[in-house]
Amino acid sequence: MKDTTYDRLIANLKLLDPRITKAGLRLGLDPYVTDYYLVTDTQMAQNLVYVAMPVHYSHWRYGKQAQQTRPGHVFEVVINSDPSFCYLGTTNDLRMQALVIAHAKWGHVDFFKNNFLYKTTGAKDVIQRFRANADFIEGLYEHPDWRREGVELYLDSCHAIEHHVGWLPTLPGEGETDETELREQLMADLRALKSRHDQANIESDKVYLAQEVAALENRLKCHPLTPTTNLLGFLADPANTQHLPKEARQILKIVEEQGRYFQPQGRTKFMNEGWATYWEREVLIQPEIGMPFGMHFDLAKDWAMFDRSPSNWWMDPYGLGEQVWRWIDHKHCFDDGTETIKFKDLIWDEQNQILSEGKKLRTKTIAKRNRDKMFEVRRNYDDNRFLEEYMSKEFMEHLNFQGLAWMRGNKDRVGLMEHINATLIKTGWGAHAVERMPDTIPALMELVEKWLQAAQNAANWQQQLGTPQFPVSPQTLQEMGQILQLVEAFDEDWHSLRQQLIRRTGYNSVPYIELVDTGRHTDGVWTLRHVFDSNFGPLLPSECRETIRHFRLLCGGPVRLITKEQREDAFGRPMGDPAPYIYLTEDGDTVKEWFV
Amino acid sequence: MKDILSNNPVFGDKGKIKVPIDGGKEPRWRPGRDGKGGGKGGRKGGKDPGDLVYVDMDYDEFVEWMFEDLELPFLEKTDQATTLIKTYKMRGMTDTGPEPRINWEETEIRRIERAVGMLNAHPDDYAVINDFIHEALLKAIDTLKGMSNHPVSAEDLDAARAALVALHDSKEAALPLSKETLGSLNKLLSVLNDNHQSLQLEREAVDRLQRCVNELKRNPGKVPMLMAGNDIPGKTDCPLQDDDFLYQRVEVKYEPDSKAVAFLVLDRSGSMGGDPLAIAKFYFLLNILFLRTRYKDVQVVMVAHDAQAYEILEEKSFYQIEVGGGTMFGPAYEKVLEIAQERYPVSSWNRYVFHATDGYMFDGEDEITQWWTRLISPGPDCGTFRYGGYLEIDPWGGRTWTRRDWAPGGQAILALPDEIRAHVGAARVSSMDEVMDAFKAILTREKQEA
Repeated sequence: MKDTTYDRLIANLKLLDPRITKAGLRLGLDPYVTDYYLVTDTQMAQNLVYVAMPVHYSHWRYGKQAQQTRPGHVFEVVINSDPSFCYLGTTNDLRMQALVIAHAKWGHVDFFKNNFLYKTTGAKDVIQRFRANADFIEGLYEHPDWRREGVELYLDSCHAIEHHVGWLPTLPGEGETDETELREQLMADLRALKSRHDQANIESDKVYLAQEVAALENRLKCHPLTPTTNLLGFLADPANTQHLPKEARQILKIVEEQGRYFQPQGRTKFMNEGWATYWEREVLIQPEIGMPFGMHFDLAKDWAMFDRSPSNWWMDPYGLGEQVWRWIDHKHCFDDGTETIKFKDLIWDEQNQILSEGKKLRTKTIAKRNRDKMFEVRRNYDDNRFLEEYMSKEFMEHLNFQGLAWMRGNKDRVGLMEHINATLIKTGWGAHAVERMPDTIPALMELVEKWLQAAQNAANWQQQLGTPQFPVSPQTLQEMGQILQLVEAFDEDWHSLRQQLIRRTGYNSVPYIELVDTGRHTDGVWTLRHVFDSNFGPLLPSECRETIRHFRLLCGGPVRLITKEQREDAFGRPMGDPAPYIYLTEDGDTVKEWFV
Repeated sequence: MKDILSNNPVFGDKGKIKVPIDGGKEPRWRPGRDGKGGGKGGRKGGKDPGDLVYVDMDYDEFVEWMFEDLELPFLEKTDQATTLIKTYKMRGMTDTGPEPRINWEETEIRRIERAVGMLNAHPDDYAVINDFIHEALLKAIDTLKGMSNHPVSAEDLDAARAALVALHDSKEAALPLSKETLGSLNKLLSVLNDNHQSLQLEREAVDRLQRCVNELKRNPGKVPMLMAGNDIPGKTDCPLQDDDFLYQRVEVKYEPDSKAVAFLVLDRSGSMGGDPLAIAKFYFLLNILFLRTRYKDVQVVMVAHDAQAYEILEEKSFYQIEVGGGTMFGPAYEKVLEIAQERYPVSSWNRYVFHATDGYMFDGEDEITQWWTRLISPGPDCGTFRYGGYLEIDPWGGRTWTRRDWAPGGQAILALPDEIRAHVGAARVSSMDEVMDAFKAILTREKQEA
């Protein structure tokens, strides 16, 4: 009869999940209540596109993303909301489901609940808010005055500046644009300064006070007295943009809210993924889950998923994140007493695919680990602080040793290169083998390059002539080469390498752009200022022009952006340091730009 | 919509075309440098090739999308004589319609959605053995008892009947059933399985009983229910309602009821290898699609030529290069005229000719001019072609220092008398990106260089 596999899967999960919960709670983790959804692969891909929210307004860029994401095997999709939703793929087997649950719920959702940045995202009602937003926008699509074109006009512009929503967490009272109090205060200050200037006797005092007075007068001429980075919020305020229809204002607010909702996820990508990767192993090896041995064995392969390309340890969110968390665990966490766990084994019937509980009650005594430091970091840090603090010289040396041990081996283990060497001799590629493994980095690099060349040649010839392939794939050799390069770069200038690696983290590609003046009291030109960071360099000019035009549409007045740009000589080579540069658009069609 | 289209479309599987959409239309402030040539003055930045997304479309969709804003006033004038007839296209679904157009799959999906909703809301209403099934089974058992020769003994039948009644009426109190009772039920089931048709018992009732017995075996203490999320109420529990039905929607269109034949003349001498061939193919496709929007029936005749002309019947063999020597246009036009006069009389066919070539031929310009005149002019021995399109492809890929003027073929066209010239469009292209503009230019006669 119809005894479907979902039936058994649900029964298995009902047996497995409470055990994982027990283990997770004992370890001190604390996620939101999570609902599981079983979905097919195609549904999973669709969900991923709409940023893993069940409700989202439709927009052409999500269709584009859907085209780009092939419906392949997506592992997990989880959302920051309370209660949270975790999507489990129906084509995954039970060990993968366990892995996904551990990774998604006990890693990500726990992180969402406990990190300070997420406090402002309003997880309790986020689904309702997004549904309301989506309904509003879908309603506008149907509205005869608006239709899709009208809405997209504003939506595209909002998306262009969707990352400029202020820097979380928000201070209380921030975002209020009522400045009358501040203005009165400053005017009082100005009067005081002027009187001091009049009464000053000493020449230098007079000069200094004159400068102060001029500065304060300039400041009072600006409309937002304090520059703001929350561009969308500022534009949404009716006091600032009278020309916008109220629906457009609502669209602005929706995109702002969305930007603020997703900012924590962008700013904690490395921490979050590392956290989940760490716990997917730590939770599942706990004895009270009583996992069958075969599953442990299969899981071990999954836990090492990101270690297959060791360069991940330096660059990939999952790899680097996990390494840093393990480092914190190693340095700051300690074993503190023991505890005794009583549990029953789980038995896996492969043929019928049924999980069942064993009869015998087992006891196991394990060390209790104090992970308070890790929990403290989880609560209070974001990616920048996380990497700045913990990606120290010692940590990077540890990574170097780990990478080299993988490759070259050390006194405790045989490295991959020795295995390769032995294999080369055995399979008749002995001409490429060496007698003794080299000891220095340059020599290792030379050997790897030699092998890489041989591998690539063999791959080419194999296509044409059918000759045998090199025993090692070129990808592995390239990984090795990359590790050696990283180690070399470290030896040369570890500061610079560290800076480079840290800079690759997410939110650093959003430039610091603040609105300095709307020109209300002066010439009516909105002034934006890009605070230049030499680590990232000047803005991409083509997209910058487009974005300024989008901003012009939203703000309704001429816009100028003050930034810095690189002068070039006739051959296109950079000349000197970046110099102040202005982009200006008056009508929103043409953008003028020049060096100041 | 043209602004989203960047490069050239790519032919996908049969009947589909892959249109690249410029994905780079999401500007934001971020660090980076433009590609060379961009920089300060240029509007276009470095286009990331990874940004291009290819969308699969049918030819119909592509035509609608591409030609929706294409205005061709010239052709409208000549086509005003065509009659329009109503045609019906099936597009999408609606809630109302006639019975022959019910879309049973979608209807069933709607019913399933509703059934699952009802099951989740009132799970108790959907027991495995509900009233209807119960009645049917009891009736079947009684019929069996009345039959003289059957493999099940009367005691077994009674036991089974009692079990069914007990289950249905008092539910949990009846459980667990004894082994003998289960045995009786199994025997009953085997009989029902074999004889359900003669007993006039629905297959579904037997299935339900089977499932009931299975569950009783597995969970002796539990009442067998439909398991939510696993089973969906069937047609007896949750029958189709009026709201569920979905009908195919029919779009009524007025289409011209006339016929056109498009002669595709391809120069396949050696200089037209690779890129020019793709350009020619795309150009021909655009023309055929365009004609399809204006004419009901469009036939295609493919003529390939080098110094001689060959009519090709299959598209595969059409787009192949012969590494031949010379190129002559005359034989090609002669062949076209011959075929047209033989098979496509002017009274019922609108004739169009499209020529893709690199423009270098041995005939001589005057001869070609005469040929075009003969093709376009009305008359007994002439072609009376509605329109001709001449596409000149630069075989050197557009490096401007090689060529500034039209090739001899193009010169021949430019030398046509005005009344003939009005029916021939000519354009030059050097790369795939220019084909769309050239196609439009040929048909609208704008921007054609003199």
